Amino acid sequence: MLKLHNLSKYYRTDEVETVALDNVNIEIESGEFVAIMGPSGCGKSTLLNIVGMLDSPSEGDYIFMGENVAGYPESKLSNIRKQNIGFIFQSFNLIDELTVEENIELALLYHNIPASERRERVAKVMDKVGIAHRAKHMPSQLSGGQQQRVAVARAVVGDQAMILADEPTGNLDSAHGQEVMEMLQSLNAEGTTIVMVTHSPAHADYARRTINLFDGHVVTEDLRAAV
Amino acid sequence: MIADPALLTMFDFQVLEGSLDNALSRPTNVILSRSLAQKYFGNTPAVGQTVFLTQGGDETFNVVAVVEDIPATSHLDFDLAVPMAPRYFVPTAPGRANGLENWGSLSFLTYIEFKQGVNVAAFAQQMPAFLDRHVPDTIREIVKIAPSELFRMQFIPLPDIHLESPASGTTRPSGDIESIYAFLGIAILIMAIAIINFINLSTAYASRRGKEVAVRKVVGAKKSDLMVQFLGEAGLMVVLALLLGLVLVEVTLPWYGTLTAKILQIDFANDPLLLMGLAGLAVVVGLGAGLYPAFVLSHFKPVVMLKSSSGSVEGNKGGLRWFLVVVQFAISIGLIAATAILYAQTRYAQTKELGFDKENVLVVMPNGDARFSQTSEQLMERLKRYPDVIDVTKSSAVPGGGGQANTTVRLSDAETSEPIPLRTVNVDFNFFETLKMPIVAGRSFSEEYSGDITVDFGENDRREQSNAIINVRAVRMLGFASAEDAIGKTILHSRNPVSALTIVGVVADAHFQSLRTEIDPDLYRIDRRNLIFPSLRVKAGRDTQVLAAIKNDWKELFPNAPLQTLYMDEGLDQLYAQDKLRGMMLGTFASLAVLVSCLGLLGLSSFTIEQRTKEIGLRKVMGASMPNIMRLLLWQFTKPVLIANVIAWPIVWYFMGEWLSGFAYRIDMDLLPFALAGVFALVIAWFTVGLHVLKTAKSSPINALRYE
Repeated sequence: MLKLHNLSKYYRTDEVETVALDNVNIEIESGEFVAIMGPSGCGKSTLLNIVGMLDSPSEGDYIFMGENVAGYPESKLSNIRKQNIGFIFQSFNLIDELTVEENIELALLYHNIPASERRERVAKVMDKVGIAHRAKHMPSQLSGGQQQRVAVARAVVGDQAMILADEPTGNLDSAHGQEVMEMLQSLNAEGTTIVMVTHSPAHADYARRTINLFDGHVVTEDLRAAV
Repeated sequence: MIADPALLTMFDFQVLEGSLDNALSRPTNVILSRSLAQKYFGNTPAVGQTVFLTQGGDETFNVVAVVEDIPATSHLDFDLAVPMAPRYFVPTAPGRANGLENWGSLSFLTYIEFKQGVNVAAFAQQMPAFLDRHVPDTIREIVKIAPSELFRMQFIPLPDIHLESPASGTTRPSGDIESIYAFLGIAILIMAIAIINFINLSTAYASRRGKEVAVRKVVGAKKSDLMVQFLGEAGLMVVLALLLGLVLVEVTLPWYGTLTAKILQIDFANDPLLLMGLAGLAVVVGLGAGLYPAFVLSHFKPVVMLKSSSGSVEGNKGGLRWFLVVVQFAISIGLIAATAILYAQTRYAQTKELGFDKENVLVVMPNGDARFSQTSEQLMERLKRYPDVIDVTKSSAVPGGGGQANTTVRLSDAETSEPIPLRTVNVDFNFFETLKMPIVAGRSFSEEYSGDITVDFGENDRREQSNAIINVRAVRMLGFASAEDAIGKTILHSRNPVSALTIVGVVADAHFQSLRTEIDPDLYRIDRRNLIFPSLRVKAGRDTQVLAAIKNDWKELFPNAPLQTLYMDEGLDQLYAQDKLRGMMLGTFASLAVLVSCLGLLGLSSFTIEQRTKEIGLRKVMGASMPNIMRLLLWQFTKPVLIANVIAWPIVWYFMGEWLSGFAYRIDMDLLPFALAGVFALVIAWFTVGLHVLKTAKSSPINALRYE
């Protein structure tokens, strides 16, 4: 699916150069469920941003589905991103002014899909994550778990091949957290590649492989038998 | 100024030299103003000196007093005052009454000082009967209606004379209360825009002060304490703005004075009413702008404020804010559209076919000398010989130059025949040729026909006989079937039925006056007794040479009088000077309104865009392109401008329709000025928010999403 080769990322201010990622080599196969762990500031989010094409590497190659996207301009990245990658955030990032339905539809809005088909697909995915009865509600009327389910629905409604989840359970209590993890697992079982950043070892256990980052380096990679 | 001696006792003048006692009782006395005395006699005493006046016959006058210059705020203004005497009001023709006795020429301001407690309205009601008693029978015979129906006396309290006097009569350019109300209204609208900005921005950015409010509340501040604090802040700003405004007024007043052709003075120190008004204004604006923000800010809940990481509150999504933006833009668009319509009408007036060619016509203005009419004959003879002069003529009236006279005619001497009012213009040969006025039927005046010249049968014989030319409008007024039909017909002067006029030609209608008024039915005759305006058509581009030549000849013929000339096109432009001025002021105000609205929009846009940062980041992650985002944000600012158009258009349509209806000849109002104003406002709004929008649309979404 994707391959990071000797990839580095620096942040430069006037005087200080911070190395966020240092010579990282990672390969992720199609259909994998990978957890990325590590202490705060180790480069997890930077890595996820680069993998999600929200940010570009300073050095090295990023081969995504056989294409080296490392030097691509934003417009090209945006195109690849919207075709292939869905996002789930720790704080859900739903738009307060839009209903549940409209929030999910947002992921299809910029894909040249006719409105009738968009509605169909949104309805289907709402059923799948069990939020259909809340379709007309505003995000502020939902619980955290429900909001994250909307976010998951939004991430998958476009049939993206890969989902990037940045601490998807960080703002949820354990019951709701588990619910979301099970949802991700079942998506993975249907073939979606999932890359998830998490602090929780318990939730990392849902993944088949855990990559541990420390100070911008990959420290260990643990392979686990499927749960 | 020609004045009655009573003027000196009725009003107070500050005497600097000499005495006002009986100053106007001797016909050769003259009173000078300080500046005129200074001009002629410098620092030496003026009293006892003599001055030479050409008006009313060259004569020497004795200076008997010098008075302080009349303040610019007074309607009465003179540099020189002489006693009233018949010689200043010479008859317009031999055998006619002089100006003091002529009921057809009423040009005096008469002041009446009432005893304390007199009911002026009741007094005014007696005036029609008074007129009927005192107007001589000769007038009654001529007009055949009661004098009270012909004349009307109007009383104006002196304090109102600036703003409510009829168009003429006062000695300084008078103000016009309608313009003042209109511009006061516009000033209030612009201030409303500014107040709206203040309310909008201070509530929008109130979130920035949320933490401060919370902390103050935690340490014990009550709502009322905070209200006072925020109102105080608004008040302070208003007071500073007021001071700055007063400085601006002082600085720009002279410029504004030249613009409006008025002398403007503001005496802050001695005008308690003005000071109170300004203080009141400060309070009203301060409360208007400060009350709502103070209320909103002081009602923040401390717990919410302290918990929220940015120290901001969500809550009201700004419905009121957008409503206010709509109001602002409605005002701006309205002012722009009004300016455009005003401009279009002024332009129409200047480019409309007037029925004559106003270009390259030079008019020599009469100098007030009684002998001008005769001496100017010699001038005419010389003018005809200039190689650069194409045609020369003389007339009693010229377009844009005044000299209007009216008469009534009848179709027969039968008692049943209705008198029909016509405007009379006395002309010389060559008049229609000089002004290039087309003859539509019959012929023009020509020296080949002896009957073309009005025959005067002498002092005591009231017979007059001549050929006349009328215009198309008069053809209709007189009831002729067509211009051709009128040729050869005879009409009678109603005041002098023995005087018969034979119509020999019909000339095209011409706008001698402003387009505000209908074209008059005109009666042209060659009557050389009253031709005070020599006018000449010069070759294009040779006017300066001709003017220089006239100056030389003038000096020889009128050694003591200054030469005054008028380009006919400029004289006609003068008719629209007020409208042009209004257009300019309205344009200035409209620009100001747009500027202030845009400042507000700029502040509000940076705020709302900041509020939508997260949403925009998310949309970008979902694949929205830069144009997608720009469209989204621009639409947010386009909507209020579009709604503003819907509100502004009908209002402007109504008011400008009213204004245009004051013109007998006017443009048809169409949607173009409205569309222009709308598009202009939209483009300006886009430019205003464009930078923010572009910056936001280009920014990377990570920043928007990373920090929660």
